Amino acid sequence: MGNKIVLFFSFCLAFCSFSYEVLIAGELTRLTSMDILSQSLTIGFYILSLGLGAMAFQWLDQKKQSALFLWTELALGLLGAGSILLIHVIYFLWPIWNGVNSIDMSSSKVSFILGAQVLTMILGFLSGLEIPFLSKMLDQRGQTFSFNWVLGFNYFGSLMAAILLPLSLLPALDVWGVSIVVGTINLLILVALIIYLKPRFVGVLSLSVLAALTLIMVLTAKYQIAESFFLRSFYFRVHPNSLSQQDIKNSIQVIEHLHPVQRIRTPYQTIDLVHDSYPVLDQSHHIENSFLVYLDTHFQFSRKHERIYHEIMAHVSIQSRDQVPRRVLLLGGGDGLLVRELLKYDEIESVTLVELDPEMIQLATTQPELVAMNRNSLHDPRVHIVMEDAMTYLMHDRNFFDAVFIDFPFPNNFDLVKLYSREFYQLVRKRTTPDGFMIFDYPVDTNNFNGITNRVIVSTLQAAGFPYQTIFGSNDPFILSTLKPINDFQAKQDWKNISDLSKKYLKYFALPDEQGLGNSLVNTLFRPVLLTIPKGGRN
Amino acid sequence: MHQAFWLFITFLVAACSLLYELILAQVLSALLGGTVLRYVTTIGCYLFAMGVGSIIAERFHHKSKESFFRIELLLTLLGLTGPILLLWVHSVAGDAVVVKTIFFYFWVLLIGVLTGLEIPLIVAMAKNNRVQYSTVLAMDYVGSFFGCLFFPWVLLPMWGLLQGSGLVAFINLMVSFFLWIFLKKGKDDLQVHWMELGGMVLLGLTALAIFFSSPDFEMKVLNLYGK
Repeated sequence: MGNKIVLFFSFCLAFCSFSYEVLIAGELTRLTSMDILSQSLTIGFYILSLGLGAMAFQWLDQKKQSALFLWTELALGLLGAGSILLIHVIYFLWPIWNGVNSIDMSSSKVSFILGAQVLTMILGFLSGLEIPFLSKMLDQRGQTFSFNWVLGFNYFGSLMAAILLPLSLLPALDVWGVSIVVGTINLLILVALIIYLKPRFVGVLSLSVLAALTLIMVLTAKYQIAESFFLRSFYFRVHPNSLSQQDIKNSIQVIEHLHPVQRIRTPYQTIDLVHDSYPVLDQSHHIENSFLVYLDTHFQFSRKHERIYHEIMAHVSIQSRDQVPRRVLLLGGGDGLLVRELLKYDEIESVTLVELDPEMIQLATTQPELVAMNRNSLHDPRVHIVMEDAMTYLMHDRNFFDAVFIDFPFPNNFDLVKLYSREFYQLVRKRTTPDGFMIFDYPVDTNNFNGITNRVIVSTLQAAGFPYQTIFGSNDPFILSTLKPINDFQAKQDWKNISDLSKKYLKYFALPDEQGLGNSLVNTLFRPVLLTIPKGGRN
Repeated sequence: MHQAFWLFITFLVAACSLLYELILAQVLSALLGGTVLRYVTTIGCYLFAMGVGSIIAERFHHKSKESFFRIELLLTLLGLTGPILLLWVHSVAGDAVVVKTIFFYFWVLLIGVLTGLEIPLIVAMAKNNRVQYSTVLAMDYVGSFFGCLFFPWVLLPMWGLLQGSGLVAFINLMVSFFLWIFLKKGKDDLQVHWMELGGMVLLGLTALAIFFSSPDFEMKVLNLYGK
């Protein structure tokens, strides 16, 4: 009887500890978009601290091991439940140490990820004490269960966390909810441990557990306020200048006056709608009654500037050709804004829109600001919506298209970098008619056309079988790729459907030199070159 | 055999094993989608399988040196062929997502179980050299930590998954090779079948070939993806 309890404790405590790691790694990814780095570093520091904790156990005073273990679990439960809150507090205060205004650049993001590992290490170290202690509990009972079973159940607990969290718990409750639930489970296990071990200082410990549970209840009641606060701090880049009370009070006041950010979490991404009349958001977006849309904290479009972008993408590409395309494929672009422009051509018979996230389509057809912007384009009879991952769709679809428009977010994480890979463009090419074209938005390096950013994408396109490219656009250039040579259209003036403002912003950019291209620069599924090179463009 | 020898071996095999799994996690992300999901589930399965490995390790204790040598060869084979095999299965299975997923995670678990056998066997092999269990465990953690840093900052940007698996396999093979050299002489000498030695050489050459392969080769392999 007794030993099975110990194995159960081993399982549950490991579940809790590994959950904290998953939560921290996930939140760091969300705050910095550096998914591979956040994941690898967090698991690395967690494992390292587990080892350190396990080693440190040997040096603890024998008689005090029991007591220390119980206090450890209390600390773990509290810190674990508050882990998301702590991460956000660190993020809020990080610019103070970094000496920057906000955490924009890669270097400050990396330093933040590393700084947050202090939390990982504390949680890992404390968790490292668990296995040695539980093994000792076995010995004291005088049973013959081997130590390996404690280890095995520990690993099993970690596995459960690894599977349950991303597959069901996190989608059901968000990160804040899960951290609170797991921290509470941790404390409940502690209660069970207290009952089982009957330590001498039961009174103090029980009071502390009650206090901890009360704190967690307060957090449960108030976390939405905290989340809303930190969201606004993040998007409007309001951080205190120092740790002084006055500075912190100032930032809090500024943030409280900002319009709340509307956050929609979907299984595929997090959509943030930012409305406000705050004077300056960042360099290129001066706001007056603004409406901006962010996907996974990356800027997508604003009401003020999206017309220029979508007009150039749709009309310059179509009117530079000999014929208007009849069957159009649009990958991404579930916001309906590009569709609005495409529908202006009667010659276009069908627009097949492949969008991964049903929530995005839902927003684009029901959210008032968005519907006003896209003029209900998604309800047009010519539009066929397919809710699927673009890559999967291209693998099984057998249709051919005269034009393929790709409106994805910039390649900020590996899931997106995949969509700029040679293998992806090969799939697109197989669905494109010989006279057809493909156009997509890319963080082109407009200052240095021979820079590595441009050479990578052009090498990739060439390796995918698209021999010809043209680059044009405003601040966010597009790359047009074809299978047949492109007629030079830079001299063309009589563009239709484009406002004068957009015409003013239309520029042409040079391609990188041929000798700068090469197979080692090709972005493939196995070698995500795009992931690790510097990228220009809006961020 | 000096204590440091066994600790260094532990460090290297731990790093290699975790690197195999991180490479696999990245391959799963490329083929099935969902980076965070694939990393978390791969690591979770890896830890679980290591637990299973630890539990069954007792069966191999009496012939620990031979078992360890064979396990490392098998691990190297699995790690080296993993990316290409998974890619091939992906192209053959097509729409059978469930079958693909089961196969992929089976590969992850297999590597995990073999990895779980490593620590107990190293401790058994090093019994005569007074190596503490906890020190071996600590070196295991340090090796894993090193692997976690090495993967995103060096392996992936510099070599990618294919060449990277060649490098890790080659390092793993060097460990087997040195083990063979240092242990075949002496009282408890390592009895190795000539086929295993042949396998080691063949694997070594393949690993080197893959590590030094050109991006052209990698792209030819990746053509499997679109089929």
